[in-house]
Amino acid sequence: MRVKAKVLKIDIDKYLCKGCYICVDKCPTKVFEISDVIGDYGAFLPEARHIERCVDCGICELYCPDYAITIVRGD
Amino acid sequence: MNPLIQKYLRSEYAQKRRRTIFCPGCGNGIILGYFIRAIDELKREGKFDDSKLYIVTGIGCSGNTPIPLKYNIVRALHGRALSVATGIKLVRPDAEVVVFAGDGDLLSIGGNHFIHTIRRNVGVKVILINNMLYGMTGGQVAPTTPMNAITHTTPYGNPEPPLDACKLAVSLGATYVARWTVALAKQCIQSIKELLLHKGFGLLECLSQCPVYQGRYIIGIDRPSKIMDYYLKITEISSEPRYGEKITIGKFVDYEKPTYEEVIWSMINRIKVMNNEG
Repeated sequence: MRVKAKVLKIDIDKYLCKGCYICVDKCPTKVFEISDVIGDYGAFLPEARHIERCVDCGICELYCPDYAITIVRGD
Repeated sequence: MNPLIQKYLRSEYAQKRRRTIFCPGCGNGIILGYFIRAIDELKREGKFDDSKLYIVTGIGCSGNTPIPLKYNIVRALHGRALSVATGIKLVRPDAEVVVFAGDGDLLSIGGNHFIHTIRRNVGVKVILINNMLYGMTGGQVAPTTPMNAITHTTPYGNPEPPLDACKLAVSLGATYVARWTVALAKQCIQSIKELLLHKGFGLLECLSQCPVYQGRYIIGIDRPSKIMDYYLKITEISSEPRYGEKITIGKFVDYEKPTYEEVIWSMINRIKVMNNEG
């Protein structure tokens, strides 16, 4: 059986993120939290604080309107 | 930036010197992401050649949707995107012409062109981004605004019943009509794939969110994810298009009939042969 690659981290682009928080609300296992870091657009950046809960559904990548989220997978 | 998306963007967007111009949480960016993913999947399956892809847009926020893409893009006059697309499709019948239009652009100002493009069955593919009002100009009432909804120009409620684009297209004999919401990612991508492989006129209506105006005026909350949840609440799957209290979503029709460019080009070839013989 082919084992799916594990999610190492979820990268959020500091320049592109506009702070709509679709990823924060739509994540089924609530991986994201709003951090205190301010991005280049002037919004508080979301942060993948609970990465161990991630089930690799890819919904954050699909829903992100500014393509700021990249899921980094590895072994 | 997402590497899959980055491959399809123009250099200044791909090198992160510019962002898309949309407000935070706008549905246009999500739909553009679905469009890129659909093209990417079709290219990997070897069914689609994107070197002959032409994109025509109207005016409005929806007209800004495909601007970051590295394909041939035409900004047409307000509401006349379908006329320009018809011209491109007739001159280059092997080209793939996709039109991005908004509800005000396609149904209000360009309603006439919409009707006659469907009547001729020109092989252009329309992605109609419906956010229920004029978003760019400040939240005025559009033909798709629900009844009794409060907007900038109807402060006591909208007195007009809304127009159902899918019902209109089905009644005029469009060969592919579907409606989904931005919250349904897989269905949207599958529908865009079917649309790009379809031969005749195709319409995909995508219920999208405008958090700044639609969210504040019509729905009452400006959180984009809550508007996506609201769309899932008011829609239901059906094979019959309806646009009222409940909005029906799904694939309504999918069949094939002779397209306008085939008819025109067979006529041109016939006349050429006739003139050579005479």
